[in-house]
Amino acid sequence: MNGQKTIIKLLNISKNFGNRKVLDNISLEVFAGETLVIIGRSGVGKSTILKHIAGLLAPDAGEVWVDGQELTRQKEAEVNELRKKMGVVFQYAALFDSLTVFENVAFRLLRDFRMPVAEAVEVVKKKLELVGLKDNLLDLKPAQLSGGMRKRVGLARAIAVDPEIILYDEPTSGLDPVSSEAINDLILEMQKKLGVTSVVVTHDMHSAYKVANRIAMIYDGKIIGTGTPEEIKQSQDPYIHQFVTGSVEGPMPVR
Amino acid sequence: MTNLIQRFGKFLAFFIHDMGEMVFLTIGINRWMFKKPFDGKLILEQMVKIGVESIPVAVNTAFFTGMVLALQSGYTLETKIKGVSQFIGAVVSISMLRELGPVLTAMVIAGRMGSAVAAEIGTMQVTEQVDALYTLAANPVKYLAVPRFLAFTFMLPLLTIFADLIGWAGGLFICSMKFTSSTIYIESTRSSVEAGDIMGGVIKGVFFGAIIAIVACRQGFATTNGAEGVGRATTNAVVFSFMLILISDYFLNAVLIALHI
Ligand SMILES: Nc1ncnc2c1ncn2[C@@H]1O[C@H](COP(=O)(O)OP(=O)(O)OP(=O)(O)O)[C@@H](O)[C@H]1O
Ligand SMILES: [Mg+2]
Repeated sequence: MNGQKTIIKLLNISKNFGNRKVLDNISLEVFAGETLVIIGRSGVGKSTILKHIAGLLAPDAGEVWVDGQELTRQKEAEVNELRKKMGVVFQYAALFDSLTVFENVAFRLLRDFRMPVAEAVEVVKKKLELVGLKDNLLDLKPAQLSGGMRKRVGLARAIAVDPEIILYDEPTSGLDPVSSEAINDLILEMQKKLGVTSVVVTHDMHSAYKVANRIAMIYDGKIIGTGTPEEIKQSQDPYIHQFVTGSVEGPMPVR
Repeated sequence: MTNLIQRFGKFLAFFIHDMGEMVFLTIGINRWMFKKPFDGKLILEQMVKIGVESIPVAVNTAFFTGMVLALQSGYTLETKIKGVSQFIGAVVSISMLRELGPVLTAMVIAGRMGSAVAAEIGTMQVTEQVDALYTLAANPVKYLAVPRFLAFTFMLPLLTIFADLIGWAGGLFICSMKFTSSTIYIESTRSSVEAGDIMGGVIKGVFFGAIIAIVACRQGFATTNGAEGVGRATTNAVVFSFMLILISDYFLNAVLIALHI
């Protein structure tokens, strides 16, 4: 993808938790308007990568560039400005459980954008519809929702202010096949209609093939391969092959 | 024995490290307090939770404390120094206003609300709700700590004044039943209590409120390790609050006396 504008760039990122090396000198680029899918086994550090891009974790070494700014060198106010262009879907939704569904989804509309409540209700209804939820949920608390519903409310919250960059941490895990497909369509639609740049972390290869422009696979703290869905599908790399075919036979230990 | 000393040393090191972090949090709270947006609704919510809903426990504590004070001081004054039971009103009022009102109220509130705040923020921390706040461009110190800090520092002095009154009434009740008439109790109060006694208690209330808020928020934000961590944060919030309330009470007394309040 030469000649394209880079929106997100990780440069030689390393991260340790305690004495455990989770990310080992990782570099990664995401171009404007593309959807990059990150795959890899549980615990390899996929969520950790997203948290670096969102500025929630600082790398031990390396640089994180988002929209032309290096996050680790910025003051919080500047990082905040960047975050205003960014929506983050958390792996476990991370809804505020003291707030209702409406207050969760409308959080930034009300607090940041000072939108009148009546107007916010309309926006929230529209976003809930996009993620396949009915608007009779508005006054419920997260504890009253099912896991899959919570996930989708989290997604609605992330897209509430029409961000330019969306980070999805396993957006379809825990969803039924029909809802998953709706979410895949939503990711595609956001890209086509709004030109959103996305990073999607997923285990779901069907979803990965469907939404990705490029797929990057992480293993043992490193990116072991990137390519188009077709290239990944045909990859001769034994690790990638084992992962995408979901086989117990191969170089990766099953344990 | 050496094991015990070691453990105490570890606790002390942890406590001192935490104190440093609390200083940072205090600076952060003061920096964010005056920035926009002004979260009026959140502040009000916390004032209700921390202040209004704590009235029953504060009343209960104060009333019985006042009764015990009257009983104990009345008994001591009558049997040990015969015939001075007309001073019960003074003893109860001054003790309540200067010491027991602020200190006991602070302890009850630390137990009831300091623990609750640590558990709430701790849970938000381990379930990534605090991270979510960052991504929604809401600084957690501003959104969570500032309203709680304001609510604690504003409501604790009010609760203290309330507790003083209730404790005084408890003393009046016991005194009039067992020792002297209520007129003597009231007269003794009037002749001994000065504005400084009331002020001193209120100033303590403000400090204790700030201590509970900062300790509880700090423990909440520092939570790791899931449910177990939330449990530890809650315990630490109460234990550290108690320790700091008692330690600072001594120094506040010294300062108040030096300032002739
Ligand atoms: N805050 C933390 N403190 C200590 N270790 C952590 C922390 N966060 C993550 N880790 C460790 O880092 C590694 C990567 O975690 P991460 O959540 O990024 O994995 P993941 O690839 O998203 O896994 P999954 O697919 O299961 O969500 C894990 O081994 C985890 O134990
Ligand atoms: Mg993850």
